Amino acid sequence: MNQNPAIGHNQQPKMTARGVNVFYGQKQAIKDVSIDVSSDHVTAFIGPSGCGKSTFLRCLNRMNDTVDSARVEGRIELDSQDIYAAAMDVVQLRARVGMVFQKPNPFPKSIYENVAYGPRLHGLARNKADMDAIVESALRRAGLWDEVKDRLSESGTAMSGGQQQRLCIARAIAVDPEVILMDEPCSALDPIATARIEELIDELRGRYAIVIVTHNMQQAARVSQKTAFFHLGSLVEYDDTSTIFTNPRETRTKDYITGRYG
Amino acid sequence: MRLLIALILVLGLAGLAYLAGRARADRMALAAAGGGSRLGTIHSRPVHHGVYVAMLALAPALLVLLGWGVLGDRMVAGQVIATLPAAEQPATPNDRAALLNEVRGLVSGDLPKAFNPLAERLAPVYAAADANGDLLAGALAVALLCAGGAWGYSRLRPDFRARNRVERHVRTILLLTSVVAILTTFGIVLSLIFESIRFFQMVSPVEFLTGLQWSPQTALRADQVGASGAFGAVPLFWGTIFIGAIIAMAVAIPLGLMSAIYLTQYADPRLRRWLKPVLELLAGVPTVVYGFFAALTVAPLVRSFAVALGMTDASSDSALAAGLVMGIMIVPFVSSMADDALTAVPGAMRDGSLAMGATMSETVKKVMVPAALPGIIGGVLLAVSRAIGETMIVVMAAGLAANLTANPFSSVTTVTTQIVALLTGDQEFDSAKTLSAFALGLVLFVMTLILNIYALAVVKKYREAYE
Repeated sequence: MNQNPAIGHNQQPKMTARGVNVFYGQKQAIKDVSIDVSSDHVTAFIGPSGCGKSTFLRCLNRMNDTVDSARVEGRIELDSQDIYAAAMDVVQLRARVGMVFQKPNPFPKSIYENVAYGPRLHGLARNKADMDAIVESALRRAGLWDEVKDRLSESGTAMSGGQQQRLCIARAIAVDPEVILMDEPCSALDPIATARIEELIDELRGRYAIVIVTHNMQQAARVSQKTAFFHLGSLVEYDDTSTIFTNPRETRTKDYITGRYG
Repeated sequence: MRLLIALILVLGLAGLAYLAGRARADRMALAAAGGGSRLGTIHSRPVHHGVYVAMLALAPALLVLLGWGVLGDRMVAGQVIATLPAAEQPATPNDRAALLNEVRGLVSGDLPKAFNPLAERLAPVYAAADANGDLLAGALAVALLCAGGAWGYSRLRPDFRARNRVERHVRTILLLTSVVAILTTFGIVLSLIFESIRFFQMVSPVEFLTGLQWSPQTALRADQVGASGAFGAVPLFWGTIFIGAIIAMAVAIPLGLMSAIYLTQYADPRLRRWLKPVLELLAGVPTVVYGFFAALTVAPLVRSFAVALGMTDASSDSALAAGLVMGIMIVPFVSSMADDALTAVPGAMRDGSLAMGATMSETVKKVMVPAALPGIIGGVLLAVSRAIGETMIVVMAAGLAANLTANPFSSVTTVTTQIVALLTGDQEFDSAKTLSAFALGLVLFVMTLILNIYALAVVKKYREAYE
């Protein structure tokens, strides 16, 4: 496992993208996006629907590979390694760059098996005791342990929406990734569950590089330190969250965050 | 023939009723419009008025003709017999049926001459009564048609809601048609049950369901050899399950499931677009063609394989040959049900697993198939019920020897094969041998019914799980 650099003093970005273009068939979804994602921040991608923020997020762990018509150009690096290079093993990449989806998608298995899924795939546990420890620590970090420790064998799909989403986060961090991508993780949740997830994101900050796509500008302001504003497939502005929300350079950003459109 | 003419007449008159209703509605519309827009001046369009009048005219007339077609023969027969003096009336129902058969034969001209002189005498009476009845029924039908049509015609007003009325009647007609299929099925089941009851009066159900010896030859003469008449059906049930549920499924489940996995998860959409229909074409091959294939190609291969293994007495009919071919026949059922089940698993499951760094085959094995399992099991159960009811392949390739054996190279027989053997050729319908076919049919029906109900319940429950 790579070591996470010390919080707050890291100059080297975890992931860098340079000149990324994404096409779905003939249609260009992402236009020349360059961005750095650092380990010690939560980075938020905001923008109106269809602006390409989710598409770009899915480039970072090559989930776009599963879409037949998708084509990615440009260079994306993880720790200075080109993730689209032939030498990059996509299975390894996805173990290092975890993902949490818009709609909670626990597998129809027990809570324990959901969390143990990744570690089993990658052979992270030598024995049952090892696995128990991994599962427990992932559930603790996801703030779910106290709620589920007595019912680990129950189905993951029987929990509430917010618990399911935290289970998915636990599942993602069980393999100890370096980056966690979150694609609108709260859009299917009620405000209380949303607050719980936001707290969790804050707790996980610094341990993992976190990138969150959100529709909700208040959410971006609450959880992130860096914010990128996407519009029509282009990265319009990328800066400290406080700057974006108080003193944006671009008028388009200003119009969007003040609710003029989107 | 006369009835057919009546039917054509009735349909023609109903057509006239339609035209009349329509014409009247047209006139009402014109009068109401007074030169302005036609829309909104009469409630329903002229077509609906016409259809409404035609429906009212046609329904009672058709009912009369149908009733006469079904019951007319019996009424005429009763009438004809009643003309005989009491002394000459046939004594038993059998005599009565025989006499009437001869009479009908003479009337239709199929019989040049009758054995019973009584029939010769009754034939002209019968012909007259029949013609009379047909005429009466035809007249009644036409009268009702005119009455219904006139009543409907008289109800037409500009604000009459003919459109809604017609709609309601359409619903009734659709309901009736769906009931026909259900009632027919009920009738089949009832006839099966009645014949089975006759069989079980001769052979105890316990012997039938638990006996290990199947040898339905019953003696025609008391001194006949080898006429034991044993009706223990267990070897048949075993043969059916051995071929249909064990060997065929051992072929169909892996092939069907894996091709479904390939088609849903791996195949390029363009490839899938033509590979899937080709696979489903297998379901359109007539089973008798599979039967040829089993008997002429697979069975000899299986036999020579058995001989190569050292079984010198290998039979040319074998459970394995029939089961293998039946398995191939069932593949499209399993694969199309598994295809549906896998497609219904939310894409989020697949993405979730792939995003964890699982490969495609790990994802299929650990997430997709477990999630789709209820649907797959439902499909397999439906396939089993189809396989155990399958007849042609086993008739041609499995053999007739009722062996209770687990050796796939030996000849076994199935319920359906035995039913065919029992009911082909000249049979007497009061012998236990012939009637046993109905009992076998009943057991098979109950087996497949239970399997189907269970399979549908499994599939339904699983559909609910993902909405």
